[in-house]
Amino acid sequence: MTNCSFLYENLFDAAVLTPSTQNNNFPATNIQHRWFTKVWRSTDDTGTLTESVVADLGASPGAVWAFALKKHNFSSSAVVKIQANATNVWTSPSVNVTLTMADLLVYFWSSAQTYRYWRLYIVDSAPAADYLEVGRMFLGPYYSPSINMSNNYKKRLSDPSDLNWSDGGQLVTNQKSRFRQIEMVFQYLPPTDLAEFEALFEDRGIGREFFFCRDRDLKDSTTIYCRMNKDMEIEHVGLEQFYNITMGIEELR
Amino acid sequence: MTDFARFIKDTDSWKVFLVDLNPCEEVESYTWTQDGTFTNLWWASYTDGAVNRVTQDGVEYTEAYSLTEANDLAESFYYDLAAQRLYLRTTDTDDPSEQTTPPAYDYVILAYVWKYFSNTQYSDSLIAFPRLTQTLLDGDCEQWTSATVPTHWTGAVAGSSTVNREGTEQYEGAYCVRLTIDGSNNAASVRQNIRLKPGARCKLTLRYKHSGTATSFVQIKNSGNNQYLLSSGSWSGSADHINLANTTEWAEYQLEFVAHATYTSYVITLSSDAATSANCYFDAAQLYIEREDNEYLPYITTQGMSDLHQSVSPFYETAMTMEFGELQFTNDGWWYENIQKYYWNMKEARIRFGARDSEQKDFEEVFQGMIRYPKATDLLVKIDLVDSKAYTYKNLPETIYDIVTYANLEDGAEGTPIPIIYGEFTEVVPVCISTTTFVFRIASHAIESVEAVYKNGELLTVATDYTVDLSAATITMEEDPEQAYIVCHVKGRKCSMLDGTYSENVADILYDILVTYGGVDPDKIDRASFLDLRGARSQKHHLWLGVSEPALEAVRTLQMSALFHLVPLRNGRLGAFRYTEGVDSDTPVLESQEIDGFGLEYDTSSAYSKVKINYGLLPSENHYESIETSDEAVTWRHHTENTLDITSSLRLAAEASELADYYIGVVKSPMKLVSGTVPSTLFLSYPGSKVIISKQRSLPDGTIFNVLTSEPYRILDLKKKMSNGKVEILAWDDLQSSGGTFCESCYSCQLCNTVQSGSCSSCFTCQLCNSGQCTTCQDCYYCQVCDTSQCEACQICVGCQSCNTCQTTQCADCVTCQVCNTGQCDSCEDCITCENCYHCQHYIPIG
Repeated sequence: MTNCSFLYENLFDAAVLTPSTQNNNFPATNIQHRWFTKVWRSTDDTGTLTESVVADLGASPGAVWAFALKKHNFSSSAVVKIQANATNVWTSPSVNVTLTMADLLVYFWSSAQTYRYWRLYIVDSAPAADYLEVGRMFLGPYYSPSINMSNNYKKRLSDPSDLNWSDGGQLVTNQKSRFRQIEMVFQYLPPTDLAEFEALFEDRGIGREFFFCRDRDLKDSTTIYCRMNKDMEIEHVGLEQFYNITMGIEELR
Repeated sequence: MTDFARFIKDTDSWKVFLVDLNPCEEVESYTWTQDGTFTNLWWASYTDGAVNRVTQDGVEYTEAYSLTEANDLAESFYYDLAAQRLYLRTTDTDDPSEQTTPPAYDYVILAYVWKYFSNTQYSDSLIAFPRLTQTLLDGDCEQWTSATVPTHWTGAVAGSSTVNREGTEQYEGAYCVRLTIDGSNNAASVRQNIRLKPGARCKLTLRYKHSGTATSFVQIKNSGNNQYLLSSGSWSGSADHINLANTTEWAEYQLEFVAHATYTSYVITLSSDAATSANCYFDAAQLYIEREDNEYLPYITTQGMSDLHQSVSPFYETAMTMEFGELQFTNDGWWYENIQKYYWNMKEARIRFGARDSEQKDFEEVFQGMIRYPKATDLLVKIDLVDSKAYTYKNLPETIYDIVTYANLEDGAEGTPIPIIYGEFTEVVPVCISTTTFVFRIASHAIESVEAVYKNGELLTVATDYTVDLSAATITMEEDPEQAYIVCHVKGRKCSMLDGTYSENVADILYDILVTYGGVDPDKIDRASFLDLRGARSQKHHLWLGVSEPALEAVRTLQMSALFHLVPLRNGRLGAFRYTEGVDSDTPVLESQEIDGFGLEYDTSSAYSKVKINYGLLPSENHYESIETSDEAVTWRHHTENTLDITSSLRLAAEASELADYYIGVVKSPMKLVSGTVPSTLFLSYPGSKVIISKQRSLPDGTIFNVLTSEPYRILDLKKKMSNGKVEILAWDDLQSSGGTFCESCYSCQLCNTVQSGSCSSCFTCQLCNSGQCTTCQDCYYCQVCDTSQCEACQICVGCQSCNTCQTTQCADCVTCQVCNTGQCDSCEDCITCENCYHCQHYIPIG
């Protein structure tokens, strides 16, 4: 089990994107939009679909430690790779990771990967549609506190559906998408972590999105795309070097 | 039952709203480049979505499906989504950004782009649908030039087989096409030239049936006879068609196919096959081309879907609204840019409603209308939507006398409207448009006839004193009339919606105003309702539109005169629904337990003691004849002495008198209105339609009081709750709204609340003789006319003094308790049933 991780400095958002093909009503720049439901879509084709999106991080690329992808229409047969190279040539990329197929694709490197060109590469031999779609991607560093969140964190499964009852008690419902909320406390954090949390809140506030992974060893099942849903509370617990931090996150829909 | 019908009644659903808005952008200032290959075309980079319409100085461009087609077609456009280029061929094939006299551009070129919004997107299934364009004209076979000539289809017959307008066997609407085949099986068919976008997905649907054992076929081929569509959806180089098997009941044929990659021009033919001495019927044909997929932006806020509000007023008020109120969108900054970039005001808006994961076809259109200008804040954008009766914003007549056209116009006429004349008028004053050749103009359009011309009251002789040009609507005097007073007896516009002949029918006049002058697309007219109105209202109408006024005023006059509502339908069509008595088997039924917040009221402000109908306009004097009818009992009952003054389009006194009788029947009583919130059963209803309502109320003693028992009501006002499918209604007693046709005294029994049939004698009651009683509950109590316990008919119970309940004590005034409506005893002064005091109405327990 690892400590939790916050993936919020998204280098992908400032990158120049070049898709292999693009339906112009669903441009690749949609991947940089915070709504994962706003998608890049390839042009229509049949048979095995082979598509890619190249991200140019610029001449001085930042260090990449993590990759995440929320919302896609890849089939279980799809082979999805995240690749990196110093040049925009993909015959033998320096980074070539085949991702485990999941609803939310996520990968962590054990060392910094500093390359200008990154490529999401998909070969789908049994595509669900005539096109491939990608919603939201993250590429960048992550922050993992030196002391993990307390074990007594609270996870809430929320349902915002509208409910109406008749006088006789008969229920009428207007269904809406469910989502998860987590309330967590970090106890006795040192000042270095305090600075990281303050940087996190300064950057994201309660309105901006990020990925949160509770346990990198269980990344496929513990990573969500979320926002902070309330103010971050910092409690000084003594000796000018220990702090308790209380925060909450809410899954984005 | 459709999927939508199930959805709307579902008590557990995921509701999705789709809002399509069609703003436009001015593009003449873009950087335009002349194409090197297709040199008639100019293109500009356009990255804001697929352009669906282009207008140049208000003139509509044709959408081309290829560069070749656009290059060959003046005033056309082609949008290349892959290259994100907009190609135009202007009127003069010149640069769209031409500036002959800078800085003004020569053209105003507007490019329309649909914007798509929803209230949600789901993580597992994207809400994205293709734009659909209908390529068939009048696939419903509603528009006919004559009984054998469809307007938009070309008929072909051999032998004595015929193409016919069929008005009784149609699948939907007013008509279908019937091919009647002779004994030698000579073919009959109708065909239409259509255009398909090369390589585009298309879907054909049509309804067909036959008589006997006949069969028919549909054929789609390219116009050069190179490719023929097969039932497999593929194309064949050999002549072929798609067989439609014999069926004597309406059947649906559907075919999804991909348009041929090479051709844009095609012909669709609906034809008989083996149909000797039989009939083949076709109706409801549609051929949609699927265009680009579009993602719906989830900008609509949780509370952003207003209620859909639709209402009509009584005929004598004629107000009609259909509005969506306000749509709210979240604003992430997109709107700030786009409300400035596009023109939004009075641009098209559509709202559809359906369940999550529904197919595109299962989203039901609930509103088509117009956008009012959006209002943006940092968080929200609000857009008002109004109904699509754009013609109401137009003044008629539009043309005026001017000295450029008429150099020798009579003094004082310049700038005055050239009248539009419907029906017959005995005294129309023409305007002298040539004082040198003595030509007088009567109307702005061709007219049916000039029946007579009078000069200073003296009847002139045609061909001797004057000549007539009906096309130009002029008379030419043989000699200078100088200052003589000229009046004409004329019959006006040829406006029949069926064949363009002269007509005084209200439906024809209405149709002509909407289509000819209002610019309403004939395809946007609900012809079935118009034809129904046309058949039912045979009165002679006339309208003289000689003063510039909103077209709505003319429509209002027709509505008041012919008793119909003009209702915008969900599909954007306009329906003219006349009042019809009674209910039919399809009338929705609301039971007591289905109505929340039930209310019953009598609107006394709607009671009038006198009705005055103005008719028979004399344009020369701007004078109407009038007829009055009154009911002084209204004053006695309701302490009101008002006159309902209606200016009608009726020409004849007898018909005006009938109208007056109707109106006094309606307005002599306060409007009986019910209100409440009802289930989704009424979600697809329109104002003006009927509903049957029952309402019961339990009384303190445990008995049930029938407030309404299966009573028909006419819906005046609907507020459709988009959030839960429920509907708030305000409805008007249908029997009251039927005016003079209902029993004046008692149209329903006050005890059992069932509607009585026949004359008032059946429920006008005598407590003693029991002769005029309610036939349902066999009980009744007091006179509905004078509000006392007397019988105006038989006089027996005027002071019959008998207690209806105990039969031993006397009843001075009324034999029923005002609280529980059962009999009471005047001596004991207690209501026997509910124990309320007869005089004070307060509860006094017996004993």
